[in-house]
Amino acid sequence: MSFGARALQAVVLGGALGGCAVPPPSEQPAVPAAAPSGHGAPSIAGEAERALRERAEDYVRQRRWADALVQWELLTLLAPDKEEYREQTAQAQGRIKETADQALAAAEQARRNGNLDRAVTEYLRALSVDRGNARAAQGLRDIERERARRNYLNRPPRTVM
Amino acid sequence: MHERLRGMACLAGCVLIAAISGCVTPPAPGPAGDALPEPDPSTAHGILARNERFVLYAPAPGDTLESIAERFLGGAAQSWRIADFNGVSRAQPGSVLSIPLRPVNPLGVSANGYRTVPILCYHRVGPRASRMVMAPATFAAQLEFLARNDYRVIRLRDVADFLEGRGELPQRAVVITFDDGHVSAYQHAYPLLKKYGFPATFFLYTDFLNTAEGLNWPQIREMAASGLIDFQSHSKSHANLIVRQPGESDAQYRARLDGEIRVPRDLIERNTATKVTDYAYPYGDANEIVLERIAQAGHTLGLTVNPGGNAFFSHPLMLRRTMIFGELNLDAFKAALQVFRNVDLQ
Repeated sequence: MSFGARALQAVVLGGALGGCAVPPPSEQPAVPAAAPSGHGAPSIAGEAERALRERAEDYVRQRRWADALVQWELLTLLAPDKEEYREQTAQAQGRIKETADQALAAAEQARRNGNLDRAVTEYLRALSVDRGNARAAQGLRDIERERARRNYLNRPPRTVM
Repeated sequence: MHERLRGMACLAGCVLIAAISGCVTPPAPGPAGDALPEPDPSTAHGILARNERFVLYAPAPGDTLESIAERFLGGAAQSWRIADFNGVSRAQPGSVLSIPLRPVNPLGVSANGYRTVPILCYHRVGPRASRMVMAPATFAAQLEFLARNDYRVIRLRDVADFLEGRGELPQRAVVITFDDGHVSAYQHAYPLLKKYGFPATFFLYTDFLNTAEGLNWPQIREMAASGLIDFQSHSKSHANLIVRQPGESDAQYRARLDGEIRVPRDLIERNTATKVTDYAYPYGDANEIVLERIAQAGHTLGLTVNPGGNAFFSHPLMLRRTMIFGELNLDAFKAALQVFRNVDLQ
């Protein structure tokens, strides 16, 4: 499918889903096909694809898997027929799981050893790649709760602000 | 700082897309001779692609982040989601914006560290400035600084959602609170908050209301009706809740605490349409029993005056708040705005 056809499909879908003030497709002038990537003048979509790809590759180089994953997801959305983007998405997901599992194991080991600073860093590391990781989030909440209790609840009372 | 640099890099990327598109697309012949790139035919009506998580959108001339947020996110007030995700401050025709339809990073942890929300604590605003009294001009200058530097003043309720992982916050989110219920908050602070459209939470200790210097209920109701000011509890008498009275038994102490917690809650709820869920401890002090009684009375947030920003994992009943004293200069004020904690997590 060409970019133009895909874009038309997206516009129609977007209008239908968005419920926005876009006239129904039948009332619109025909949407001519945009120049596909690599043929003549690049379209806005083609330029967006290039910029997203550049950013995704940058994040991969930096091993910022969560950020890379979002870019690959956007690329898959923009160009759904490109297998490469699906593969890159799956690869990023694999890296995320691997990194998060390692960080979680390190966090819990550090916690068992009483090294709470290290545990906090490792839980944060897990969340920096796997942003919805419930175990890491709960680990951080538990440590913070304990620290707040220890550092603030047994202080002498303040008499002035 | 890293996150800001990243934002700037994103901005540069978008500008680059816009610049490249502008080079390769002939300018639209406009009446004013403006050189906007001709709209890509594939982006008629702007939507390049969409799924349940994102819309890829090419802004048209005249689009603003607010109008785009209105169209896709249900309200102009959500425009920060587009601004933050794309690292832009405005919609640029010829570029493509990724519009996140769901929170992308609700806990705010990234490779460089994590987001924190500063909660600012004021007391009085008036002409004779001192430690606890801020000059109106100083308060105005602080609000102006927030407005000009892309800080987003959010409601305290939004922090509760953030702590529960239910709501994403803007990158530069700040909460404004006032303690006690001094009439000067109505006379001087409220007009300035209205001018800037900034919400705030006023914590009331209810024995102070209707006194010579305290707010009265008509003033409170007027501010509540504005939709900007939220009223929550700061005790009944402003006694330090961790100080026991001589000879007070555990049962007597708990009963006294319950009075300090339930009386203001019931009064505020009866006199305003507000649901009281937040409690600012007098002098910022709490202990285990106070936390237990606060939670039992249905409060979900408790606020201290321990300075610093709040991460998603902060203890909800021990939130940090930074006192903004009357003599604070603008540099010290800026230092109080801790919106990100740098940690190298690579």
